[in-house]
Amino acid sequence: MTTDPDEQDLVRRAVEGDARAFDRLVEIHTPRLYRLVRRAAPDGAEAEAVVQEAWLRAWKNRRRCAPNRPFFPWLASIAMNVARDGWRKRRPLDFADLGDVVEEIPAAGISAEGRLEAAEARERLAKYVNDLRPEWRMILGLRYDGELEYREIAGVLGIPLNTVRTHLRRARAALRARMEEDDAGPAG
Amino acid sequence: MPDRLDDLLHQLPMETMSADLPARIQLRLRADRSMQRRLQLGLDAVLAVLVISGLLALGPSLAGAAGWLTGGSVESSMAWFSALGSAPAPAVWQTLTGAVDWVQTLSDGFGVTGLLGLVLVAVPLFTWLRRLMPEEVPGSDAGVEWAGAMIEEGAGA
Repeated sequence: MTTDPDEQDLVRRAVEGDARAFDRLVEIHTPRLYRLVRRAAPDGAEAEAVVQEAWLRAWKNRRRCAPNRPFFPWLASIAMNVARDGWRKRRPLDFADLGDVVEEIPAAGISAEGRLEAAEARERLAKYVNDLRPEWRMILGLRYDGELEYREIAGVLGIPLNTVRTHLRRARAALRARMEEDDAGPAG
Repeated sequence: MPDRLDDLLHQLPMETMSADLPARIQLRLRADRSMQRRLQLGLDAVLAVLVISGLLALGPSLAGAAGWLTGGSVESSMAWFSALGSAPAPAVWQTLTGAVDWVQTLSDGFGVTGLLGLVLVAVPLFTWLRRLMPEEVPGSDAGVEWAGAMIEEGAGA
């Protein structure tokens, strides 16, 4: 992800305490931040609360932001930190149990999706994503809604790059399995 | 290599956020900044009162200690250097004992009130100085240690 010079200037001014520059960043990044938080949050109200709190913390910690680096991953890391505070109370997040084992999941199972209409497939997939473990939803949100690169996700979550790959593989494998299962159900 | 699942995941349906969410965030930020400013002003007022009180407490003590603070002269310095040249060890010893005496007399001259005054002046000054310094080196991540910590816990288990 590259850093837009205009945004870099906005971030630099915001870091120096320019409230208007920071407000502009709020306008630019809130929709994207909401999308990735909402993917992992149980409902929209909680996602909005997390996003609001993330921006407040970002303002308070603005001096820690490096203007020469992309702003969004830094913001996302704060949002994920806010989110885990709430989610940990319900069930501890666990990124540890997978280790760094990288599995090769065959992509052949995806053929089942071919029989579904695209819109229906997306609806069902969204439901399956909601059923995933929060930490997997978080990584999927960062990857597909936040559109972060693997190394950025690793930076945001503070985990090794290989672990990010492993989590994504596992999450996708789980989704494939659900879709295959769902598809095989009525037929069998 | 992107596959169909990847494509679908990129296009997952998502409920849209409230249209006024950015505006609400900005309002909260404004309220927060305003509160921070008020707190800052309050703290500055308290620190200013401390400085004034400290200076008032220091006044009489400073007058007493002034003689000791300005006790040195060019002639005595020259004499000390010549003594250092002729007999270094006694000169150094004399200087050390003189320094101990000086500190003792200075603290006696200051008294409890003077020392309290010094603290009252020093604390606000350090607080203001600290505010002028950068809180963190830019580039250090606010970061999330939680996931990494859990990974390490898992690796260690």
